[in-house]
Amino acid sequence: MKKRFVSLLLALCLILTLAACGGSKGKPTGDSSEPPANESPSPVQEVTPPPVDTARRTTADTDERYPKVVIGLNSDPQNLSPFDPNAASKPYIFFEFYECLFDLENNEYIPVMAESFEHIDDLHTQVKIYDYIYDHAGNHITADDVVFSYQTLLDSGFAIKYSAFADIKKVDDYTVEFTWNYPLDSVGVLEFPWCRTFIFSQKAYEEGNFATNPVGTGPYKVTHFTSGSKVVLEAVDNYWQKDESKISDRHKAKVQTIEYTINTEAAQHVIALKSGAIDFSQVVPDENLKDFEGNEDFSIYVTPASRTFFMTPNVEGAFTSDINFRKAVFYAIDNEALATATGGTVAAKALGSGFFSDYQKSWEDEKTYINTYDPELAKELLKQTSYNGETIMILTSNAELHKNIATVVQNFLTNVGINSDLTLVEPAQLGNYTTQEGWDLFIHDLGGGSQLGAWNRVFNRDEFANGKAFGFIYDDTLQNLYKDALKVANYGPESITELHNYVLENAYATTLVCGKLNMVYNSDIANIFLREGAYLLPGSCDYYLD
Amino acid sequence: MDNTFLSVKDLEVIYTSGKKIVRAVNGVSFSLQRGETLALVGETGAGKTSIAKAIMRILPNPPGKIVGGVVELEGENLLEKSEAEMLEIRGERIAMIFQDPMTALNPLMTVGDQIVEGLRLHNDLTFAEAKKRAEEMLEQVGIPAVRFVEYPFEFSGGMRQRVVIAMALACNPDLLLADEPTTALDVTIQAQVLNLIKSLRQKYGTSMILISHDLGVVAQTCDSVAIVYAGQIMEYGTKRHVFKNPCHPYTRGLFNSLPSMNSDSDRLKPIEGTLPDPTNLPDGCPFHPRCPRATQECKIGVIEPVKVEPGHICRCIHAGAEKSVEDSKRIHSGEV
Amino acid sequence: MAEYILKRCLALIIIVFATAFIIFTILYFTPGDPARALLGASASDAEVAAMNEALGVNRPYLVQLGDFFYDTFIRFDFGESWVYGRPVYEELAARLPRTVLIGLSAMVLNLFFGLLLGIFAGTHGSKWQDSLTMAIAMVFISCPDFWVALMMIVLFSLKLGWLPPYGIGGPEYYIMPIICASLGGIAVNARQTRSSILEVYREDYITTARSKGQRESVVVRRHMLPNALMPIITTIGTGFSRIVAGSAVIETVFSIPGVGTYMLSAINGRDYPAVRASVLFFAVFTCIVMLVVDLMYAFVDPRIKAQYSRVRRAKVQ
Repeated sequence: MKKRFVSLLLALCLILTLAACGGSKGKPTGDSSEPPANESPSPVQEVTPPPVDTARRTTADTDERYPKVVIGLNSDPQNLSPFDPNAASKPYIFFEFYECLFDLENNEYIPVMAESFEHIDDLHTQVKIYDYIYDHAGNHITADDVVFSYQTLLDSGFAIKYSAFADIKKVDDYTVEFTWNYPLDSVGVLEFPWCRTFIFSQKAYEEGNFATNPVGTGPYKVTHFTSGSKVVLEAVDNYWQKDESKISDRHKAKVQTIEYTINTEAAQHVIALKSGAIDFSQVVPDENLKDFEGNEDFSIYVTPASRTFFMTPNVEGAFTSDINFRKAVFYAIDNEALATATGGTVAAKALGSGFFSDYQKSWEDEKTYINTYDPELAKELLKQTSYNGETIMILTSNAELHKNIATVVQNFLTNVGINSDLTLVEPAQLGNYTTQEGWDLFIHDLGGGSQLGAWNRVFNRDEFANGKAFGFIYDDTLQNLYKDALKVANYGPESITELHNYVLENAYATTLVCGKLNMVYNSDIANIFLREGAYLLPGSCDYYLD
Repeated sequence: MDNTFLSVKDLEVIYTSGKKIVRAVNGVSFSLQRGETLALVGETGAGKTSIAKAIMRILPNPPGKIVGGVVELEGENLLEKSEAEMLEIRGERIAMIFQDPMTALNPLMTVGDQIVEGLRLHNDLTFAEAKKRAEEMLEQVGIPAVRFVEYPFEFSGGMRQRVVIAMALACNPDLLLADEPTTALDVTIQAQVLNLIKSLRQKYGTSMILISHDLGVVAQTCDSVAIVYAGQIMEYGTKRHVFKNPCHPYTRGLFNSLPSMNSDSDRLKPIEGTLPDPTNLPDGCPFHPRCPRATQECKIGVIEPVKVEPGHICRCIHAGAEKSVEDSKRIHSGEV
Repeated sequence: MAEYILKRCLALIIIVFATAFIIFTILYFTPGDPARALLGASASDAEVAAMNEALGVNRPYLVQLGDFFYDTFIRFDFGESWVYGRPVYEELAARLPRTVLIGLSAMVLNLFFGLLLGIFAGTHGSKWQDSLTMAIAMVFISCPDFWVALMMIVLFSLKLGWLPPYGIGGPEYYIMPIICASLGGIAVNARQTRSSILEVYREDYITTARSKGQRESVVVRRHMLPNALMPIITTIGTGFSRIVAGSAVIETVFSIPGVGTYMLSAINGRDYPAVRASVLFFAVFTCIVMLVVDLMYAFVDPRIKAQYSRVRRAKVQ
């Protein structure tokens, strides 16, 4: 009898402990129709880093290099071969040791290895490279090597966004000629062919194994690579570009050794920062930021990221074909509450992220279904449709963040009387689902080189095999507006805004939340340099030298 | 001339099981002369094995405990000795043979190694010397010496029991405790093993306590007999005394229940009833619930042993009350 | 005995073939697009289709199966990893030692400490030592590996600064991973050992040994333990699968580039050659461990050794 009583007591304690743990771990799942009032502080939107202390010596003032910096990566680059530079954590590290003909900055092409370029006609461009480029092994880079680099990339199958590229051929030892498929009048059409195609020596490639021992031309060379664990770069002393004025900020080497260590757990990054094992991380969870506040050894920098979560309808769906239903769905969602509930994100106020340079702040001033939360209006709009309580399907990836967002969205919809089911699918399988009927709403995770670029995978029907834009949208006006906005001649706030407004009028898409970068770093780093606003270039940062 | 080799007085053993206490041995006393064989006879559960294990102090320790009495081996009280001293006594001066030969040997050691283990514990021998001695013992029990390297599973039941005997007698112990050594064997092997024990005993002069419930075996081998019931000795005397003149009602019941070759009988004559619950022994004589001659006085208090003849005691207040054996037979067969 | 080993090796080959077939077929029918996984969300459908064609995943099932078997078993070419861009064999060879080191060390710890704790608990059966040890074992079994790992990292890396939080390098990097990988197994082994010892404790031959005057510690070591060992060996053998399964978790938390993480990223990235090779590796490794475990039975118990050997000696009456 006594034994049974004790066991019962223990079982009760166990259940209570589990319940307590469960309660404190998760954040409120947005069950209420109001944002959780003062329960948890709203997510840190933006924090500017401490300004550079001009009283101290930094690497900006001298040629001296800071000895070593250790960067925490949260995914494995897997291999170092020069193809597929957007995969995993490659964009974080490749641009220190590989170089392309041009760099991309604000949709402009800045020459790097190219000395100059000339459009011969609408479909041909000649590019001349410097005649004194040497790679880390001492090989001289010539036009043959350039052609070889392009050819190898095309053969590998990893050449994406190459629709404009037709051919490349050598003209003389240091000049190549590109042939295009159509006139280059779209913005960003050469992003991949010119700014993401790395140039390397044919001899070095054929004699070596670039997957583990790459030989590039950048300001750093790879001295150690353990797949899944560590990459170590050393500054190159005889960088090929001797003319100081031509070395852009992105190709500097202000620190002698850069070590990247890989760990996929954000919790580990926090521990590594605190114990000094790493000097920089950009995946610090919201709730850990305060651990570093007020601590002199660390600096904090929070910026919006390019990653944006869109929700788009299937315009051929049973109910989502009706514009009133779509608007009802969009008005029913409160982005602020959503951001608070999911953590690590900020609410979207217009169809994109403030991160991009072509994002227009003025979009936020208008009242649209993105920045307005109006469940009453949603219910009214719903009454005008034929919807009668049926269950619709929300489709998205099964990653943690997507799952959380989808769950909160589902709750908001239930509040206005729309019943939904979640279908969570592995990223690799999403393509199978979205190209078929059955789903009603889809939650995307989109990034890109520009705001317009980010919209590419949703609105540009040329991207898709079935000739319709995402969600089976077939709208000539939309397509024309998009293509027009892309044209270099038209590219600007007006054309983008026109496209933005057209999408909103037709309720073709909404945005939910945007990602942000929570960076915490060793306060010896005086000034953080981000390539294209998102990727740290340690060699270009400034460091305190005293 | 005190040839008393082993003297047990008022031995008490209990087993604790949860809250209950099992009184296995309740005030047992007997003595053994050098070279003599004493039989402890009784039903299963009477406490015989507990007595033997108590003497060697190898009772299973969490439940079993010796709570009273004295066990004197050549004048020294074994119950007061330290464990280290007992380690030297076990195997060297007292050895034990167990009931089930199939499980008495370590299945993963060769039989030779097991004999050698005992030898080297008590003698300063090299392995080669011990091996030689072990092989001699094997030969003595009728097992070819080459089988030194074989494992127990390669032997039959009877052969294993011989190995056990070899192992027990390897160090020439003064006292051998044999716990039902032939119960698990068939009759022909039984005879062989008993003869073996007898010859070895005679050769080495070993005293023996034989535990058995088989009166026939007892008759063959023993000098004295003690009848054990519910942890007490009901009757104790020489073989002749007990077999010719059984005094205690329990003893008579045992003899009566033996089927006789000479008479025609349709039914066996068991003793009515069952053993008492050892956690709840009846007051007075433990046998009184089943005894045809029980009276009021039997139910109260401790029954003291009564001397029937010189060297023959009986723990019954009605001892000697019958005028003749025939008289008692009539009473016990239920005719009265 | 040799014949027994030979028969088992033959069985191993058959198992490997069957595993290869099964894993290939499962991957073939698993929905998911290797090219999409490789190129990312921003590539157009046309580019993805071209990549799939280049990878050869559109060919008929039997053609792919035939190619796979030919390459793997005849040419011993495990193919090139689509994600890592270099031969699977190279990558596996580099990562194998780390996983094997952690796995085998964990098994050794399981055996050693599991036995110690189990014997301690078993020989003090029903007393406080037994209850305490089993309570500790229960805690170890219940705690998830990764939680223990994170707690240990906070204590030893952050608060004390004795050990590095993650990565590979010298022996200090492997201390925590090995300990975390072995805790659950130690507990399981301790429980099994305890119950085995308890069973053996009451056996007659233990009483025989004591009656010869043998010291208790030697009785435990020479008489109880070998007889208790059989179920324990079985547990250790099955514990190996637990370690293999746990290796992915441990390697992820401690960021150790081993076969576990390789397999995980290969599965997520639909890197078929890498998945097949890793699975086959684990299958072969497990078979070998099982074979060793079975041979240990023969080593420990002569009755089983007799079963394995063809020559049986007749029982002499």
